[in-house]
Amino acid sequence: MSINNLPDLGLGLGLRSKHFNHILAEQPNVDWFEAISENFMDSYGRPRQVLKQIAEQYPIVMHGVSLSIGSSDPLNFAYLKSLKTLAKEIKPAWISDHLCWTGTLTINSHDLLPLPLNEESLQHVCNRIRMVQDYLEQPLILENPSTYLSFEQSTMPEWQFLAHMTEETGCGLLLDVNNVYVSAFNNDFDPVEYIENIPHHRVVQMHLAGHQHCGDYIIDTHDRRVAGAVWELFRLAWQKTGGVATLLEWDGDIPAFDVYHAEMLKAKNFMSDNAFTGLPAPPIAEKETAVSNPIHFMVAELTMNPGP
Amino acid sequence: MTPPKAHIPLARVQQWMQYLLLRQGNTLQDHQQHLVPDDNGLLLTDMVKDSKRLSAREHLAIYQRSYTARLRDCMSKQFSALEYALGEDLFRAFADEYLQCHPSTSYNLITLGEKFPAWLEANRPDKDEVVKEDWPDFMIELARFEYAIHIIFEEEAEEDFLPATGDAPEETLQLIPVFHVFAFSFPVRWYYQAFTNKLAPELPAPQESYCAVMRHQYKLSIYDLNRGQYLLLQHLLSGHTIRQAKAQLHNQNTADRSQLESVWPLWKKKWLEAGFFRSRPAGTPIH
Repeated sequence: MSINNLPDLGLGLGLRSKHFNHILAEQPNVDWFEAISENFMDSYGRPRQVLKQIAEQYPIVMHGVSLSIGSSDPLNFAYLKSLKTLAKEIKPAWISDHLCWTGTLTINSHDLLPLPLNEESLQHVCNRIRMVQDYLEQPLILENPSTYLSFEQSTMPEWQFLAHMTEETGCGLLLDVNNVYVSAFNNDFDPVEYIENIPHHRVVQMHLAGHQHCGDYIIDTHDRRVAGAVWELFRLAWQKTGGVATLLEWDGDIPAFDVYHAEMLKAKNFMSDNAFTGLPAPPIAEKETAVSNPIHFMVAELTMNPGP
Repeated sequence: MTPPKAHIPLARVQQWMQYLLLRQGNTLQDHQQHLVPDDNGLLLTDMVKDSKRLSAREHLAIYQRSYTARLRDCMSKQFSALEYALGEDLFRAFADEYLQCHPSTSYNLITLGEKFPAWLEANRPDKDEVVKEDWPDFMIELARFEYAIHIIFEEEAEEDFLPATGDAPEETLQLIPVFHVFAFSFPVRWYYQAFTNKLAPELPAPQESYCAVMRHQYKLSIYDLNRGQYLLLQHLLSGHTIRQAKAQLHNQNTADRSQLESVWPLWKKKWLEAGFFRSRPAGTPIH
């Protein structure tokens, strides 16, 4: 049970219901797909059937949003059982989730909430990662979330928390480069220092996504193309990690499949050895309200028939 | 130099933050000085840092806004016809209040709206009036139907079977695994279909209506029924054979035996064509 044997899957796309028919019919030349675990775990209708079909054709990664590894509630073993059952069926290359908590006292906020980063939360998270890895019988890959506040109770930077966490548990990292940029702007830290100091050998996967710059803060909206500064950070992260499986997330205003794929393929322009020369200035801010951590909610499809 | 803040256990930090996410609508005023319910004297600035651009309160507000907007958007997708029927503003008000009363306790978002129809019924605007208006009844029926559609879409059931053909002996016919019938006091199916076809339907007047929703090969289909068909199918769903179901209908004085026998061949033909049935292998129990 080690992250060392996990493959570099190449450039992948998020599996979205809008693209199901296109993928099944056209079998596009995409390296791999990432499925949101919760959209399929308790689904026994078409979405799960489609996922099974796509998993026969492409490598799949299961990416979760509800493990709540940082919650002070007990681990939800009903959730883990359902997750493990889906994993047995789909055989993903790995299972990932976020360094966050989604709720406490049995409530689920369906948000990826930030943790105070200190010794107590580190030990709490490490203990739970070990339990999850033992239960799933495979390493867990955890993603740095986009954050919109910092706690007074934090005593270490996030990159340091991640370094200790991976060292103590053997888990892998899903480095979301856009989240680094968003969190850095919102919480006054240097994204370049962050990328330079994370444990690069623990990074199994990277995420890219679009965000909305609101002037005084940035929201991780996943609803547009990747910002120039994030591409530059990706260039640095690619050089530091030596290159790992990379995926573009797009959850709002999802474009046609070919547009989505083309945006992902831009990553190739930033995989060269060209020196990282710094981050460009951010774009002009928008003042429209944006929602963080958008949810891809599956809607039932219905065929109407005349009365028999 | 600012002294370090006192350590607060993780569980209390999380309960504090969740409280302010879930109770923001009616308690933000009380918490502008940011008292934690069980930590008298603890200020927001003891918990959350100011940044160069935003105050601690503004940082927290980003989470508060997104919590409500995100779940309201899910409700809107799950109850899209209801949102159209109520209008965006009224739907939003109902959804926000519902989410305050029933925050999600499941990782599965499909169940987010599970209690919404019952909540609408309990909180209908005319609940204290002696004479009730019609439109809340329609909204409640529509909400129940929309929620049911999502559940049926995801229902666990056998899919690997062939529908029965016309030559299958009648005593072997049974309804396919995913098959549900609905009875309404409004034309809910008509309204739902008109909405999904973007026909901008008007609110309908009361009118009994019935329909069946079935799933085969992971595709949902919907069929209109009349009252007799609905009752017969209900008996089949409860495990009766066709012969028993017809007898039940007769015993309940809901169908004249000869009339039923005269229309049955047509019903059976159309239902077989629509894929309502599969054949039960000989010797297999009904249930």
